[in-house]
Amino acid sequence: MAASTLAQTVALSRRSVVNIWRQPQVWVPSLLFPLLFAALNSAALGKVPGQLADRFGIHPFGPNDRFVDFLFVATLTQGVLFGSLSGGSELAQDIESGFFDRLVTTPVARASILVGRLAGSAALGAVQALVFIGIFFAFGARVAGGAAGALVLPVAAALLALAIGGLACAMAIRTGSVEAVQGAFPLLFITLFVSSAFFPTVLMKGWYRAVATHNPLTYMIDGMRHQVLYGFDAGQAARAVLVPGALAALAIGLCLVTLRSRLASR
Amino acid sequence: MTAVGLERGRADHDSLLGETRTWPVVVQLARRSVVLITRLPSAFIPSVVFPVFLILAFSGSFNGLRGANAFDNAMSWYAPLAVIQGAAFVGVGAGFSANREIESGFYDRLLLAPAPTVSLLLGPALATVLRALVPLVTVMVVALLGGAAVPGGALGFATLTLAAMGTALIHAFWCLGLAYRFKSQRAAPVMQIGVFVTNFLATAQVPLHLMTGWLHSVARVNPMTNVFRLGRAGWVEDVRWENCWGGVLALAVFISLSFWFAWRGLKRMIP
Repeated sequence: MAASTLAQTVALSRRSVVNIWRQPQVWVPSLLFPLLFAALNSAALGKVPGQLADRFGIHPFGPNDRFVDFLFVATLTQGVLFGSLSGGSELAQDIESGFFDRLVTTPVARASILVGRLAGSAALGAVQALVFIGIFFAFGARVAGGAAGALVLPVAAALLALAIGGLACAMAIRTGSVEAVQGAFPLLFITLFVSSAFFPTVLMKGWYRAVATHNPLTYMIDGMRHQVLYGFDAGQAARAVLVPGALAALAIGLCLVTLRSRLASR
Repeated sequence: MTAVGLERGRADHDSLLGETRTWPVVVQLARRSVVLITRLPSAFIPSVVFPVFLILAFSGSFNGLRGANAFDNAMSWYAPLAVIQGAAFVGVGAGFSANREIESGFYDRLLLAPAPTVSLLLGPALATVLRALVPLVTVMVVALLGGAAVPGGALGFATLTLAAMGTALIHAFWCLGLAYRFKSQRAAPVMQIGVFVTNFLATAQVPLHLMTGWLHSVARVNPMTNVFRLGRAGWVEDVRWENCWGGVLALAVFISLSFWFAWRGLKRMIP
């Protein structure tokens, strides 16, 4: 039975990954838009680190005062956040088209339905991280933490993709609507903006700074950014991985509860 | 319908058209569009919520740019961006409405009505100006509550209102022109992207002197840079003519060009 569950999970995971791969309109925007945003921001704000260093002797953008290095993790996080919604959208699409109902009438393990979808999100997140690392390297960005530091990035990205994909799947199971899942996009945008993604929290002020400082994304982003700007640090690496890991555990739990509730109401 | 019937129909249409004045039709079309705010709030609310989020997010995130000699007051710098962006999205809304009505067939009935053709453009244009007042006032109130300074006083509000209304009209005519050509909701992404491209390749985020490389080259010649300068004229310092004339000229030229684009598209739709 265990082997059978594993085989089902692998088959559904494969379907999820192939499904995403065959629809470029799902994954291309989550690669292109963050890169466009990065190109715009690095040209608009590229002088800022140097000016702050010259005028006040502070280095909130890292010891090298290079905005492109600072932006690296922001772009990666942005791409993963927006791309991860696709898992939920696809599940909602399955529900809308009736495929989900047909699937649950078969003797397939319930958990494998979810794991299959989430595997697609996590795989997309990890691949996105690798693509962003390649592109940023081509534009001169470097990971001060070396191979160990660089490894933290796709792992954290995959876990974040799992967390956001899990939340999107929970929404999909609860509402059964692609539109409702896509409606979460502005919330993700706000969550990302009110964090340390695009600007250091030490340069913010008032309530905005308080919210950004305590945003869980800030903990994760700062941990990842430490690997890029300052070098490998085990404590910061743990922060980068454990925060999205905990969020992923919560999201998967929520997903399972929502699935059980949906199946019980049938 | 026979040729004689068609001719008679055209003659009746033309005689009724001669009796119909433009202004009352424009007002009724605008009224209908404004009433839609309450009947279809989901289509309008984002154009208010998004600018409010924009001003809070940008002034909060980039407050530290004061230290990099970008501006003295982040709220004062980003309020005009939020107002102009909000107005642009209200303009895009005119295109969305036209798309919806073309798909539902309502626009065909409008085209057959004995109304002056130009009223089909001026009605949505008037509605756009009226609807753009909502995000304009909302963002200004949020900005003032958030600590924005307006050294230009009443003239500062006037120049920003002019920049916002002009931008709203440009996007309204541009998006109507696109709607007449695409005749479907598929045009929506093209309409929205237009706002981001024109605004963010100008001085939306930071002043020209902070930009580097390709963005500096593009923003320097982008007419929206002049429109932002006009909008910010009284919000970052006292209003001076040298900060305004470029924006007024850019608005006049691009309102004319976008009107022409929409007019040509509308003419092609008339049976």
